[in-house]
Amino acid sequence: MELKDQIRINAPRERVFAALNDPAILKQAIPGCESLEATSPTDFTAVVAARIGPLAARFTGSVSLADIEAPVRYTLSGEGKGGPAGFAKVKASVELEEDGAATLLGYSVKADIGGKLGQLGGSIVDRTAQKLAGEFFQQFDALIAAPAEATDDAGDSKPVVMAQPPARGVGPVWWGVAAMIALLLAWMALK
Amino acid sequence: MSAKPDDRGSWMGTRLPRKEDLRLITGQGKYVADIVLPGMLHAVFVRSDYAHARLVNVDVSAALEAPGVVAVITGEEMKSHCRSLRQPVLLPNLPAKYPTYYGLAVDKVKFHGDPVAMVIARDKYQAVDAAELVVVDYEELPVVLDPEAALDADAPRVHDEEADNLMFEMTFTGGGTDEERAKNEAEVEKIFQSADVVVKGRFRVHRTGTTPMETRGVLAEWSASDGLTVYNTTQRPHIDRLAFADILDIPAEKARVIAPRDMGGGFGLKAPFYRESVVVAYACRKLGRPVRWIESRYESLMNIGQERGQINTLEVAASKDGKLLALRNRGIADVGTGQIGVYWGFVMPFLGAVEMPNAYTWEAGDTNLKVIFTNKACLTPSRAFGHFPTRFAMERAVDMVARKIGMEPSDLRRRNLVPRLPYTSVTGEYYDSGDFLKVWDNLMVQVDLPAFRKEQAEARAQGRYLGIGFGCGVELSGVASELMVPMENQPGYGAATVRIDPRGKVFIMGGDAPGGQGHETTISQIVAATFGISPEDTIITTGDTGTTPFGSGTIGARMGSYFASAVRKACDELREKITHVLAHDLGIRATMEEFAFTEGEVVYQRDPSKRKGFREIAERIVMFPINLPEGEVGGLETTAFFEAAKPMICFNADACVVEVELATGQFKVLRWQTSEDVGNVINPMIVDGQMQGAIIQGLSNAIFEEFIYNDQGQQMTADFEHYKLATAADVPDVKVTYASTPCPHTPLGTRGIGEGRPSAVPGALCNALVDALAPFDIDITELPIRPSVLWQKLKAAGAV
Amino acid sequence: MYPAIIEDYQRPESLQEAVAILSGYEPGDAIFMAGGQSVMQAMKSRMVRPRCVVDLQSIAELKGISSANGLHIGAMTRYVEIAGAVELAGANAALRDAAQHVGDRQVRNRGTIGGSCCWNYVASCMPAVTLGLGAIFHLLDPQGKTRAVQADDFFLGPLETARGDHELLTHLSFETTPRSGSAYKKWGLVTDALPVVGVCLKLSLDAAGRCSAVRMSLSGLPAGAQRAPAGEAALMGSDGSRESVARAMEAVVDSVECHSDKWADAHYRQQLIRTLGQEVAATAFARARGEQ
Repeated sequence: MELKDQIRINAPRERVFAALNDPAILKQAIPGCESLEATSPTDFTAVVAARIGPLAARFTGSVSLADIEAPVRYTLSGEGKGGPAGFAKVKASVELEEDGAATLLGYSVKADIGGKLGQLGGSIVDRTAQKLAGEFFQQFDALIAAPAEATDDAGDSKPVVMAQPPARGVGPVWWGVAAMIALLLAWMALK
Repeated sequence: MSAKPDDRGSWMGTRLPRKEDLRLITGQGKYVADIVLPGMLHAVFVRSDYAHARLVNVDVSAALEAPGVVAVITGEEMKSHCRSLRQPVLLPNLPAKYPTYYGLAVDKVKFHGDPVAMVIARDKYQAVDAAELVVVDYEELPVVLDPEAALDADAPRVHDEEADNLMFEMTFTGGGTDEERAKNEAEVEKIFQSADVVVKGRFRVHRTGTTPMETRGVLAEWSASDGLTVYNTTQRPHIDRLAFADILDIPAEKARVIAPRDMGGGFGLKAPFYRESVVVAYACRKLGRPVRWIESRYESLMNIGQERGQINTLEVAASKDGKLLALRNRGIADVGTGQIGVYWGFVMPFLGAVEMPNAYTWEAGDTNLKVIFTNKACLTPSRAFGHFPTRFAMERAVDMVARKIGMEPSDLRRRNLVPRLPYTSVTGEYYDSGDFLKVWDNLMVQVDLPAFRKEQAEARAQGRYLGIGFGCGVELSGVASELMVPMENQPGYGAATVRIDPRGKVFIMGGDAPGGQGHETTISQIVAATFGISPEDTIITTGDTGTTPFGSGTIGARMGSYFASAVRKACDELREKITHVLAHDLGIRATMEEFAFTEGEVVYQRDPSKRKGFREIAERIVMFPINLPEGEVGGLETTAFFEAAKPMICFNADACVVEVELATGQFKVLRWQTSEDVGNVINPMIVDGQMQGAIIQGLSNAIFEEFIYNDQGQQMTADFEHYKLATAADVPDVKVTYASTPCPHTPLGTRGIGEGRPSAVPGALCNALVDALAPFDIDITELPIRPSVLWQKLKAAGAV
Repeated sequence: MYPAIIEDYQRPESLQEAVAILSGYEPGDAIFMAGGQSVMQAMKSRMVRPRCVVDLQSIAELKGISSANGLHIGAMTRYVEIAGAVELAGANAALRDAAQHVGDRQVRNRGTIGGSCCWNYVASCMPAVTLGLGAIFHLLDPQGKTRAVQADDFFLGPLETARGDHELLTHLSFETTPRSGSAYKKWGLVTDALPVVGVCLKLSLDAAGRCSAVRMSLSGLPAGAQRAPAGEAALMGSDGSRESVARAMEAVVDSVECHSDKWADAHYRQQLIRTLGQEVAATAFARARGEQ
């Protein structure tokens, strides 16, 4: 299945880019994310537990990043394995465009669902993917968007997460968007 | 049994209610899943979720720790402890690529569902729990799914050891050498060049097949003294036994296969020898405990039952007065991995190509078939073994010719039906006996075409669209050794052991295992008629290699043709002996023909006072064998073998009437009529049921059922929500009529029936739809045919 | 396949007992089982792995159709009972249309209206029909509190409803407005299969025989049970003529997203919306006029 959309994030591009760097933000934005860990500068894994209606699943996702052109674009590929339930493979590309004080975040994702989930989930999977992508971005936006009354007092103004350095001293990592899209899609694949 | 023999005092031709049914419908059937052995363990397979991937690692450590788990078998173990399934007894006698494979995947998985490990536990729930804990590392490989693209030089190879994905290729016409074939090809081309009419179509038939009510099951038991005993849902226990012996390196006398008394349908898909059977048998020997595997429906839909799957680019040349001249076909069959024993996925398309000429006379033909590997489940035999797609192509092409020259399709068929048998087709198939014209004329009497054309015209005037379509089919009636040996390295004869006991009960043993066709009943009627006793006094045992004579299996309609004939032969031998002894006892000189076996007695016709009860004479010969005529010893048991000199056929013709609703493309089959040459009929109710079932199966295949692989090779139709079967509400009443010619080559004049029967259905159906929509000149060359497809065609034609 | 281990099975005999059992488990660890026609399949394929199954079939208060205080249908009412309930006429006749054609005879003997709506499978008929009829869903929580949820708020998307994990659907209630009629028709490849597309229509007529209120819903589309507001608006004031219905169904076609799958492509689904729309409109109008 394929997903393509463009989201307006109420923050400047640099901030969005930095937030996408930040595993802590991503862990909060991904519903049900239990852990996020780097296994290399451009690879990492996560464990997500989630539900849609009566269906629940827990799976491990792994993601790799490539073609990084800061702060504009990159691609990612990933796979979420749901054990006996099946798997999802994801390829995505993300592009950030300045829009005044905000950012247009465009993503294009191709996901292949395999195993039982693909067979039994079918039409529900597509629908859920859109929904979850929407939920993720809503949360992501809420976490990093500028407050309604901007203030000159830097100390009051921003969500804490901005200031956190990337985990484990691994350089600028773009696993953020990569991870959440891959994991979201793998997650919904398990529904 | 309340039915009586017919007026002639014979059970032949009687609509006897089936002996099997009472136990089957009261839950007394004994299927493989009903068999419980002490200490029995349960097996579950772990299967690949990927269509093509390298098997990097199979980690069973967590599974081994799970509650109740006794063992987990992997491909490496199968490879190092057993031979491969590439054994002579499982290889056809045809020149093809036969890549080696084992009970479980080794190195690579090649289709979605490829078995990777088998978990054995104390109960089936624990086995499934543990199977979830097996962790497999796959390294994905590119998939190849389209058979034509699979022939490209840069296509991914399904089997690493093979040079390419072309499994088998053959030209079926022209002769045995390249020169002869080239000459034939040129001659056929000349005919096409000069013919008045040429039609051409690319006829594509989807993957579809059969879904028996009972899935597969294997229960294997090992003991040091008796060796291996396998209860297997197989149509071919005697062949299976040899395969088990060869693969597991067991002395042949220590292997026994028993097809359970009751099997819930086979339809061909229980004829191959399967990998799962090997792994289960291996496991029971390794563990010294019985192991049972019952296939889930999900597994079954994923892994077997898929057949048809061909593209036939067919051209037909004809004269303008409706004489068929030449056919030219290029067939492509997508057989998946090709790795299922005995048939390797391609013997079906092979036979389908042979059957392409159907029941028509041709001056010449040029047919070629290519069989191609892809990353899909291997094809398994389904009723209408390979010729469902080729018959669809031919029956549509014949109609296309008729349309082009403005002739009634039924007239064109009649004009070209083989007028006199025996006859040999352009692909070398021998048609032994029958009267095609008689069958056809009977159909046309049922149909009353002029009345229908009037009905059709009136309906059209009211904006209703009715159509009529015809189809016919020559089918194999059993498979003679002459064809079986070169094709499959296996014999075709029928064999039966008949034993009469001192109480006058008759036991019949046969090696072929039925799957619900009613063999018990049919055979009991033959035996009852032959000995003048009640069918209730006969007992039929089938499918146990320990107690039955060698038979190559319930396949290709062998029952009515081969097995029944062998039974009759054996019964006649015993009648010979009975009458010889009785005449001696009565002090008369008399031949067998001078005695009548009737109503439980053996009666001397010239002097009916000279008679003896069947039970009494049996007891006398078996229990008190003294004062016998010279040369005779006691006992009443014999095994007889039957083989026809040449292969035999049966023939059928179909007509169907449909109505199409233009606004939605939805259609309904209003009536389906058939005309059959099934030789002499033993039980008309059973034969009717076979015909009706076959038509319904053909309709369901043509309209509703489709196995689908997506572009990643994921099989998407593994439950009945996605693989749809026709319901009773979706199919018409089928009116079966008979115009039989007794077969001159069988003792009872019977023909084997029912196996190939579905193949004429899609052609007849689509011909009817095209006829209904004739004003809009639409064409149908692909299956499945569905309302949405028909509606699109109507839109494209400007009709809606 | 075989289900994952189920630790406990309970068959309570009262509503309070049922919700009490569920409230003792984490969300999702205990599930209600109504007719089991969806839940058992999900358990066998292990898509759902409850620790406890709470079987509702012995709770008398969940069963039955009553017309005493407006139309109430207990959540455990089986399709076969709805199919045969002649009192479901006029405004609510679509319930019978749907119930008579779910699955097959065996499914109709066991499956329930409550189970179907709470499972809310993407292609199911009952969610679409109860949505089309504007049913009200009555929920009970472990504290004994009840709440009533409108159908428009109950169905949240495939497999999701407003029912909380510990809430029990007790019954559905329906309006029985006079001079009203409803109808439902679906098309699937095999008889009574899950719909490729289905149309439900409920309408009321004014004194002049024109549509004064209308609800329309669809089944079989990827969004699951959904209203068709464009069609509703277009049908207001209609006298049921083929032309006005055709216009309304065209408005529906223009406003909904139809998908292509192995059963039909999007264009065919659109055509089915048009043709099924005509059929249900004819029936709904006839029922509203008292002709059927």
